[in-house]
Amino acid sequence: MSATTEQLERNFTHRFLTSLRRINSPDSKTTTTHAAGLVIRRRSLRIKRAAYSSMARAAGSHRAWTRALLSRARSQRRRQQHDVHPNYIPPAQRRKSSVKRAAAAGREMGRAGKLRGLVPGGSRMEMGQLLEETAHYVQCLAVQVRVMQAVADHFSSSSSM
Amino acid sequence: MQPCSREMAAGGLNSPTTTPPSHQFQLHDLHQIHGHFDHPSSAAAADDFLDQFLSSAASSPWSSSAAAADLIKSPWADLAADDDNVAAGNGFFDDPSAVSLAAKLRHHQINGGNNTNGNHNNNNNSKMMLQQQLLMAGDGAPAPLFNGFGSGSIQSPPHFHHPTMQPGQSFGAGGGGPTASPGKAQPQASGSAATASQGKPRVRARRGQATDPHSIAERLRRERIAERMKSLQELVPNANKTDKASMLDEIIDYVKFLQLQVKVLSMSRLGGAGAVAPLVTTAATASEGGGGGGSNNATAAANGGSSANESSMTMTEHQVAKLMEEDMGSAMQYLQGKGLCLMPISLATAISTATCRPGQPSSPNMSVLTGDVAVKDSTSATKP
Repeated sequence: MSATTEQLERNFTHRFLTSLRRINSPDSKTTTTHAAGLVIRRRSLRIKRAAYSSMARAAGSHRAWTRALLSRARSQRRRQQHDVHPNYIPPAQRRKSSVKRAAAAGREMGRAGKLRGLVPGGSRMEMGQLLEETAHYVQCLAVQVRVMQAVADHFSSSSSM
Repeated sequence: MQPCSREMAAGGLNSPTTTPPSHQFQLHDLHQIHGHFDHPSSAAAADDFLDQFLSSAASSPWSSSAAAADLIKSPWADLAADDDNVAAGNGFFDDPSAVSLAAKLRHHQINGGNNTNGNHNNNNNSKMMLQQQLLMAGDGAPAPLFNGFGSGSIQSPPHFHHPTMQPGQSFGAGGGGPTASPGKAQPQASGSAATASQGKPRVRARRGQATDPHSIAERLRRERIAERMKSLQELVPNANKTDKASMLDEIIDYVKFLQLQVKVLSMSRLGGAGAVAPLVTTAATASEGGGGGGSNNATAAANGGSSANESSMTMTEHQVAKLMEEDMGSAMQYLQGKGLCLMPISLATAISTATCRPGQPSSPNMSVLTGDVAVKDSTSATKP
């Protein structure tokens, strides 16, 4: 499957670099009055979210985990734009769905429940589909890590001291 | 002759006051034992019991298979329900058709088995014969009994309460609800063992033959899961585990590891941070074409071209000072982009004196800024 892996890699790299440029270029977000450490942390969170979203888009929506990840990202973004403080989680959301789903995944026999918690959308799948989605998810994660490592190396080497 | 001794002990207890001579006592108790054998009660004796019973039993034609099945089923039901040896024993031996069974068993005992431990193996052989008898009856009802016979290895009974107790216990372990199914004894045993290990399906699957749609669906599901696990094994490193549970553990750990790597890599994303500062300070950044890489290259060109290696620290220092005047956040981002951090001078002194070794090229330089804008790195600690 190396052809599809390469195509996936190229797709992801393109999307990821585009979103990195959007994050790095100075916009209204960077000049908000926040603590310096928080700025850095928020930026790393944005990068992480951008990485996962671009990977999900690159992988295609025929996979259940990509759809679940993208819907989760969409709801997160909507909530973040609504609230002032991005770390603030509205109590309604925390009580209702996520806790129930986490409890349901945890009630399941140990290991399978843990796996459901790790794979996006895993709590809704049953065992066979879960394993299939996990395989594809692991493949995409490996590509993601490889590309991100290459970008980090490139940036760190070019901004050498 | 332990059962006899037990009987004698009972006899002794029953008549405490009388003190007859011992031999008379023994004779009296032997009569008691014979009486027991003629009217089977809750006697504890198993093997000798059975032998006595067989010798004294009147032969009668082999009863119908249905009656035999009922005969066998009731003690099993009792055994499955409760651990009451006594009731089951009574039920078994009081039935008149038990006599005919015993006769048949006696007849087959002559043909059967090894005689290493005479009583016990005779008992075991009698059970195997019993099984074959019922097998020849060919009814569906006694089929569940076969499973217990075949699956459990009948060992010599540790206690002599009841001859049917041991196989009964193995029945309780190996069998679910009894279901009518035609059968061969041996493959059934292996099939039942296999299904017992699989889970709790109510039907015992034959080898290569499934009677229940549920078991077929479940087997299909398990095969699907097995092949998915195999494909996962190729993706995940360290996949030499044969156990499904440890394989799942490995998969979980690998997914967690990959997600942690993404998190760390996103924290170390340096490119953009370097781009922020030059946009503010250096004029060369105005010509950048956009994009993190492009801006970074401009930064590198601006910094690298204009400063030698020794004064790079001063350059950085000035940049940071300028950034700190307007926004602390951008200053920190610039430092992070360079792989530098802020720390108090005292801490920097402590660290550099503790870890200072000449010729450590790979360690990142440490930049220290205080209110006096003093910059110090690890290599400069050697200077007084």
